[in-house]
Amino acid sequence: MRRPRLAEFAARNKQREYFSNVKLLTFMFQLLSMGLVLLNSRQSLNVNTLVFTGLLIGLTYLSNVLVMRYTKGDNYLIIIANMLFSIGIVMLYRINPALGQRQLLFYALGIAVFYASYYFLKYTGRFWQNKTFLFLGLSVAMLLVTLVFGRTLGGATNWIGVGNVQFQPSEFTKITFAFFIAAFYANHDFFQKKLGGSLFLMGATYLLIGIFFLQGELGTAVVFFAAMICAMIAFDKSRLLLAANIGLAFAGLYLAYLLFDHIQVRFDIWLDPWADPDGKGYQILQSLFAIASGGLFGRGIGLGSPGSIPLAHSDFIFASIIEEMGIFMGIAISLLYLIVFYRGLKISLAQPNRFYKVLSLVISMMFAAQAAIVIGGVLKLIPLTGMVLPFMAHGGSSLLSSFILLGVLQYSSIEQYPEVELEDEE
Amino acid sequence: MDTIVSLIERIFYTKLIGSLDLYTMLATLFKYVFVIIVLYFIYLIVRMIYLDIEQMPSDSRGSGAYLHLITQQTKLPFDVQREYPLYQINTIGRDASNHIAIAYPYLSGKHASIFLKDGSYYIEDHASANGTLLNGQKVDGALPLKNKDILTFVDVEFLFMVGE
Repeated sequence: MRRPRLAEFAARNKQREYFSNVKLLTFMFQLLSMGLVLLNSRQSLNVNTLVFTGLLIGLTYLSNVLVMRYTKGDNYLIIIANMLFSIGIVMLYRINPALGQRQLLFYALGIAVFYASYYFLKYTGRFWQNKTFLFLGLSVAMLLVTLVFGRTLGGATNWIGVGNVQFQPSEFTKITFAFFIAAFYANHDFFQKKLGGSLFLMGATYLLIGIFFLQGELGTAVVFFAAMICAMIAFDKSRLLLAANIGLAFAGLYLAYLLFDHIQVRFDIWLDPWADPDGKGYQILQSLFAIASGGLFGRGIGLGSPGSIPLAHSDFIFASIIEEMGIFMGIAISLLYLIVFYRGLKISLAQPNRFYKVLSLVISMMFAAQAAIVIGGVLKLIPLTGMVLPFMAHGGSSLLSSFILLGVLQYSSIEQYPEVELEDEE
Repeated sequence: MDTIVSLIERIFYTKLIGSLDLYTMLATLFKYVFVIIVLYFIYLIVRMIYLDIEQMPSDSRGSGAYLHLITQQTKLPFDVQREYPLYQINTIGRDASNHIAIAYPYLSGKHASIFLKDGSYYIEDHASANGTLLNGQKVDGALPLKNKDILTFVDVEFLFMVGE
């Protein structure tokens, strides 16, 4: 059944050639777009801005090369993440150079944690596979700490400050939650016997989602729910529980709508932004105007006015990009997220180890759900949720947690055959 | 620095035709270039993925050998696949953590395993309650398998196929 060796060799050579072309394309995109942005922000031109551009190109190139050299498994993940990041940071720098510089710092950190989490799992991976309660405890603890000590920003209590550093624990809860689901399904037999099987998973997830609703974090709650449902569809036999879950989700959402003011506001804005065009509806209307004025190919970098949308650099970066680079770029970005999702599914299918199988499925679902929610929100297809696009939007916590998840996905892409002791034969 | 800024100002922001300056022209040209670059990037990634898939044999991880179900699938009240590809090591049993997990109450949690050693497959029974049969003989210790051997776990029958 195997193809001849020569054909395989030729295919691998071809792949290597494509790979270097892909690196070249990323480089060209960064060079051309940063050139335009630098010309556009000529007043603030100094040595720093040139160092910034050099660092951006260098770091991306380095991470693209290192991934072939030092990690096994899937090579596409980091290349795509780098491309997404490049599109994002060009826009960030164009809106506000200071934010762009800060983001580059986090990017350097992000690349470091990508490799760190890869090697961390490589050496300690076996230890974590049955620590279901540890991961659940960590998730709950992080959220409760935020709920008690957190600061409210933009309608959601999700910031924690330690000294001068501020971060969003909910972003990092995604990691512990993904590990929790994976550990749960890896030890499914145990839970089936002792703790009611999937009911335990559902209970834990709804507990976390409940805390998110209290904090006003709609988006992350939806991402968690999507991750759980996805894992249940793939690894659970019971279709009844699945239907019950979806029913519960609708009932819960309706209940939350009645109970919480901030959720009602989001639905009202979504249904009729014109009710309050200068106040609550202002942001989404500006976003829609920006998208409309962009057209198919956009207005060109530096020629639009993405600054007019509030939060153009984080929640609404997708609208800013469409305004200046066009709907086609928007479609391209959606395609890039789609490829990441597809790769995640493929990794999950090929992985024989159950823990990593579940883990990679959950992580890719998280990326996909996040992208879908944000893009849908910006286009006013669904209510706004206050999430940001992974890898693109401004925000250190989001970028770091996305790179950690990507590192974990990278490690999960190595097929791991479990070792069974064979010592009882002479 | 100021001289550079004013130089940029003079080159890129002088109105050439009407209210068009060089920067506007460049930005307008480049917006097409960017879309083309990113779409071409996606094209290449998809091509690479395509090559990846094309390179895979019909089963990328298996050794070509597989278990084929003989017992009629429709007669069994639990989920069994028609075929199970075999890897380096395969455990068979009731627990979901087995490679070949069959939720049949009469199977033991860890019932048996099939493993590859020195190029050939062996079957080994893990002291299961209801036993494993190889061509009707009870399996005791590790026994080598050959093509078209019949394996019986309790009363579920499989044909061992080497493939190629």
